[in-house]
Amino acid sequence: MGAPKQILHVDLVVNGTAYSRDVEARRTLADFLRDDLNLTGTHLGCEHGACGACTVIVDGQPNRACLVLAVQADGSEIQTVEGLAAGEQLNPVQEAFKKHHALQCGFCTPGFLMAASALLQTNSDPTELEVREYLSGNICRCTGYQFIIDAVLSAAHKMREPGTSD
Amino acid sequence: MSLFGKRQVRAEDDALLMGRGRFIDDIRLPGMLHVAIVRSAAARAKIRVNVEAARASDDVVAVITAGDLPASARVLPDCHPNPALPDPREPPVLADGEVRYVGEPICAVVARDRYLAEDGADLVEVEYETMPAIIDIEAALTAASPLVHTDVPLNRAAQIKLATGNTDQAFGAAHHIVRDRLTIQRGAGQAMETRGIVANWDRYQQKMVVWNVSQVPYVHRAAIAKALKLDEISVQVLNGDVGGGFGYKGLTYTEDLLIPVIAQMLEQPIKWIEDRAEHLIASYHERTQIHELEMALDANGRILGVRGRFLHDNGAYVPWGPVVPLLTAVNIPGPYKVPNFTVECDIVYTNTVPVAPVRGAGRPQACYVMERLLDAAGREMNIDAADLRRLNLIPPDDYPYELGFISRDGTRRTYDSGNVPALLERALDLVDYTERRQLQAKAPADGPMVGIGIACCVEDTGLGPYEEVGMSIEADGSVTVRMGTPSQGQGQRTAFAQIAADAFDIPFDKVRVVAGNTEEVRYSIGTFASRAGVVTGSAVHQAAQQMKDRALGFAAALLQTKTDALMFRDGAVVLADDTSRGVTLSEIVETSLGESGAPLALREFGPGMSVTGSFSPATNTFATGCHVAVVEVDLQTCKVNIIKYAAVEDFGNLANPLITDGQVLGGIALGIGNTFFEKVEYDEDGQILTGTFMDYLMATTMDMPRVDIDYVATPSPLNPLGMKGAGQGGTIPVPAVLSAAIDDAVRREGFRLRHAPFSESDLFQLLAESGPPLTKGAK
Repeated sequence: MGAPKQILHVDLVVNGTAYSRDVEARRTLADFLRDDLNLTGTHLGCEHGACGACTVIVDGQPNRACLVLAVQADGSEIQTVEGLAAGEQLNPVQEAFKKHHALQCGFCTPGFLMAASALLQTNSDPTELEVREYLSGNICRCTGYQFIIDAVLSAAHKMREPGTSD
Repeated sequence: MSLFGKRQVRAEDDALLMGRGRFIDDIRLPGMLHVAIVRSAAARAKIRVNVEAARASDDVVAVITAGDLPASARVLPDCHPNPALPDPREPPVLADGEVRYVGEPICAVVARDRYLAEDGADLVEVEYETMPAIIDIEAALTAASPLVHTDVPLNRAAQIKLATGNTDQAFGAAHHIVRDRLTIQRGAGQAMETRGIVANWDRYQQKMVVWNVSQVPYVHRAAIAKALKLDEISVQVLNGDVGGGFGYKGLTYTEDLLIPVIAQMLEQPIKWIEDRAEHLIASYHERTQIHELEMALDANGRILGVRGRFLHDNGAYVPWGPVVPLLTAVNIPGPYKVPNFTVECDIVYTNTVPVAPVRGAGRPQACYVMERLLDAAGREMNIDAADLRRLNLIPPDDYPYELGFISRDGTRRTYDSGNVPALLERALDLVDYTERRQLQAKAPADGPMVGIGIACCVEDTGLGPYEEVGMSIEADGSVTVRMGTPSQGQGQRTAFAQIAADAFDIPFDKVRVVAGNTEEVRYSIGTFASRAGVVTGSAVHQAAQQMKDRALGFAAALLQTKTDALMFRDGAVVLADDTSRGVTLSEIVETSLGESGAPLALREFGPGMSVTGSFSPATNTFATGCHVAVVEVDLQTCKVNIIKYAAVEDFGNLANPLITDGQVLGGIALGIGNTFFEKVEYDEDGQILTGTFMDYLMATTMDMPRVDIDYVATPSPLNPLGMKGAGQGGTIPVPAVLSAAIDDAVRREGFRLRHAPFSESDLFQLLAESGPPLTKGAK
């Protein structure tokens, strides 16, 4: 423990709010979001980049918050699960997850929501296989995935054609 | 308006979807300290621990070793005593001079945050004097083997024997006998949330408050109280949102005592969050068993008897008695008529992580061996897989069906209800079985290899002895339901609200379900063995009946009528023949509470609208299931493509089919993992080789087929709602059904799957060793 702890400064925007903080160099973005910013919606499932539970969107790209250091996110714009709903109003992806029973314990859910949001931002009309491939880096132990896939396809449909029922 | 049976979307979801869950790692208390645990790097060794450098660090608050623990908290108590395993070796809370598996806790380092705690853990020096590890369970049982516990000869923790009928006579009269050696390798629960504990000694209330991720908070309350020498009511166990359970969170771990002990010692809140690396090496595993069994049949293919033995890998200590091998033993006959049955099991200690139930709990092994034997018999006797099962399934008229031996709960094992032949026919229809068989017979030899597999299973569910439910009607006429069985994602706040809402004819959102706090009800057993839906659900029904009687009494007095002239309608008790006249639940609450200082208007009823109900089943219920899979096997790459998967379940009456669909699908995902991926591997030194999610693989979106689910309900006569449990049925038959389908697709002489899980490489090897294709017409 001889090495001095290096403290660096970060400025970043999370869910539209600007934050300016001193942070230890070794601190992960996930721990920074959870412990320093108290945004505990981002969950840590494995801390080695394999389960996807901590997926957040950094400058438009899905990222594993456990594999990024907070200091690497300096100057970034980040979206987390807390930023999806408008107040108490679920967004279409969240709404579809609820309707299709795409969550059980809900621990992996923030990661799936962020990954699905990233997919739908780049592909508004994905096929089932495209959804499966895009979400294949996220692990869920409860649902068996079928209802997650249904939810994402249903949300895509709803977002393309608002007002229609699926 | 009936909500029972409706695909009601869940009350739980909004908060979880918005990132507002309350998981264990989200808890932050003022002055909270963090623990990192130093774990054994050796499987079997004498150890010496030097903590001086760690204690000398400015960043370390405390280092706790075995010697620092109070005498009452040095060894885990036997939380689940069972006469079948009379003298279990329980794990030390911290290893004291000797370690018995890689990952065993040695000491705890306490610091201001987890980073500093881990820095401190790095300063702890452990000297290992290693000894040969005992890993192979067959070798462990030989006289030449070293011993995991020096006072347990042959490493045999216990033997189980189960028998009914006259098996030897049945085998003597057999027309055909099949025998096989069938093995299953251990996997793990791997909930996406690891384990974690926050403990706070509340000096002002003189109470130990513990948040954890338990499926059995009342078991933990008792164990913690004993370790801390407190009364049970001075210990409170709380569970917020828990990120998946899958059985192995239903056990008591050394950390469940360790963290409260440290909180009491330091009088500061203590948090320990297991990281995935710890979880992969040190959270309890399940499934390793070796089975050598044989089945005797008559000339038509009717089962005459099954006999044999199996070995169960128990790991280093006994966290939950012999429950896993017991469940295998009693479940081997499954839904089939097996008039003569003898099975013996040796439970064996090894230098590996202790074994405890993981979703399925001994039953996937039982289903696997029974179905593999049936498949072998079908092939050797040239009987179609479906026909062989039709011949042997217990006919619906034979229920209740007594098996002739004792169940897990000590009662004579009796299937309360069921109709597995109907499940089989429905599942066969869902995959167009007859048509597919015809296509298969006509398929060209060089085309894709398609095969069909069938497996049927039984699951003992709804285990006793009881659950208690508190119910109150609030001032606004809403209903609060309190219970002791916490949720790990099963949707209890939804399903139990549906049951309660129906009782009072109120909307779903007028019921609030509260669980996860040992102070809500006095007694509870826990959420495991597919029991909460059945036992707690029935207790909700029971409490509602008591509350209805009470409300009717009040209403009859207020309306000056008889209770049988009244009914519940839309949040009120109304006259059945004039529903415009009545009193609302809100008015009844007001009357029952009166006004401070004045006598109660209806003194004879006593105050308030609060009752406690309970349900104690006579014995457990039995859910049944039939899964049928159609697979395509590419003989070049050994890739298995599941092209059709049907799951037909009998869970009795369903409170919420949306939730049970989820249970089935999630169960199948674990079963697919158990078939192809999920294996914990140890080398001969007891080092764990699957210490990351890159080595321990689970099913992903790319591995899960679309599943056709259907239900056939034979309501259980053992509870008022006719329910059976739904928690494990999805998992149990999967390795059996997929193994059968792959064997059926490959159809080569000598090719037969006898081990799960198996990889594409394993299939390739088996193919290389197999003979020529079987002749057409052979099954």
